[in-house]
Amino acid sequence: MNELLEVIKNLDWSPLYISIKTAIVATIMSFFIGIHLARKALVYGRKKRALLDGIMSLPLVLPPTVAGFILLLIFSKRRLVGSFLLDTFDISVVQTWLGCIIAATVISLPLMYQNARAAFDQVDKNLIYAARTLGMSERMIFYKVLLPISKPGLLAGTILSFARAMGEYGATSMIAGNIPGKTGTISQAIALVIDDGNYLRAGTWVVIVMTISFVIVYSINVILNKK
Amino acid sequence: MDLSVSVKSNLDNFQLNMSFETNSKRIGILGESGSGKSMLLKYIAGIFSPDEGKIMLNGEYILNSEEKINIKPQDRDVAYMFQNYALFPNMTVRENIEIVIEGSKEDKRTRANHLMNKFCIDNLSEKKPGELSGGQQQRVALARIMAYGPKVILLDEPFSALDGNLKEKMQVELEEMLNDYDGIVIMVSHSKTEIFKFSDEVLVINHGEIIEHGNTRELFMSPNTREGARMTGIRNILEASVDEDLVLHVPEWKLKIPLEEGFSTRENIKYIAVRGKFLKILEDDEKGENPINIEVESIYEDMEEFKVFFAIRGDDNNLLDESANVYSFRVKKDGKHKTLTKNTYLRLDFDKEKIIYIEN
Repeated sequence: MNELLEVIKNLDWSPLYISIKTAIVATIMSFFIGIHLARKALVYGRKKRALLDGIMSLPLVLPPTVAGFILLLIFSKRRLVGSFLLDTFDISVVQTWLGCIIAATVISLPLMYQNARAAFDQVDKNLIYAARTLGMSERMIFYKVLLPISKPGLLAGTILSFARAMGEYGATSMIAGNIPGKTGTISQAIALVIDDGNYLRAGTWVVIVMTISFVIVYSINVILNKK
Repeated sequence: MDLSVSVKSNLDNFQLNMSFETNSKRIGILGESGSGKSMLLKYIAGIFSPDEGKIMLNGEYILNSEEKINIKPQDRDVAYMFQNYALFPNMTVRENIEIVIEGSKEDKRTRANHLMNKFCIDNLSEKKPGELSGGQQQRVALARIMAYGPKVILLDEPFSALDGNLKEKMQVELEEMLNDYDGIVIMVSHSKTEIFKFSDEVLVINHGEIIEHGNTRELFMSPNTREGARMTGIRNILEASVDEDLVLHVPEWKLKIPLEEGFSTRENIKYIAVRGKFLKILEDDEKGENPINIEVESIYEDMEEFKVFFAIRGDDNNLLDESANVYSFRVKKDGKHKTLTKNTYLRLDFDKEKIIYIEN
């Protein structure tokens, strides 16, 4: 017991802040990008839609380390995109918090996309057709009809995205690394302390991450379901 | 108001190829499910586009595949009422109506109030569509269409989602609600009674083609095709031919009916049709004009009349064969015919004036 108190007293809380910050930003990004892409899929032809569906399922089926490797290839300072970002905007992705966000977004985006897409697909097409023949613009139909009706599916997508972003490990460790106080997320902290054989500290983090995830997912549920 | 349509499409299980012109205001489209009648409506509304074709409304093309004209459904002024009414489930009745009205908040409110009052749905204004009955939903759907104010209203099987009693009530109500609407209304239905009650002009559709087109009353009186006769509710359709001596041969009913002079224009007759209500039961001592010997197969009885399904008896007084066609006639329940029994033999007669001659 004393040991546990000691662990908690000396705990570096930065992984918690970093994880939550990362997950929140990544979820927001996934939310908008995922819904946008799912809306695009509605108007795309069969082939284009199949392509988009394919790309969007890759991060789900591939090991996150593969995504991490590809992100490294893209954003490495020695490569085209990476050097361009660094030279023009002084932005660097590798080994930074931005890397954490990009990794978590890439990994969580497919969950948002798939859920939004399934939710849109389930909406009675007659509602959209009827709206069109009643003079409602596509924009209005999307915001006033399609989005509100799809709310449960979008909610599920958001929650899953958040959970996935919160737990992201593979891609993050490759592109952002585990720099304490900067890119060290809870998942990485747990991996690190287990490596050191410090099960008590690892366990503490496990309890924390479980509690936080539950509270946030629960709150999103309550807030979005209120109406 | 005039509408001309000429569309062709290769659909999954048949070719759709329809052309018609009309300047009626109440048009009925009669056809079985899967005949392409709903698809025709969707082409007119712009919900789907045919492979090729032209649609002209009041002198302007809303579709012309040759000239690459294909006006968006939003700009066609053609509103579509779906079988399930397609009310937005996330909005109240009021919101459903207000959302299609252009203008300030106040304009929307006033116009919606006016329409809800007119269609007797003001007490439902804050309800969601899910809380409404089928009949109420239909009224809201129609109020919403009127709020938009289109040139053409398309009704796709408007009563199929309602049950019996309500169906009849809404048929009357719908007509009342459309009374002061002076645009074109096209109703699609598989029900001959709905179409007959509603329309001035009717198109009969079968397998993607228009097989009959004309004034509703005239067409129901004398359809020009076998399918048309069947769809307008005639059960007794018989193969027939006219010989050089102007005698009408009806082998299925074993009749040879001499026709009057001047009938030569009718030499292409392939079928005749006789409505069941024109068949009369002959008493034993009556000779009759065109007597047929029948056996009663089954009887459907309601408050006013018997509907009798029958088969023709052979010469040896046995039924021709098991697969013989079944025909039908109706008798009023009056003093003479209080009861009818299955498997009894009867003689029927009809006036040859009542024969409908069919050439196709």
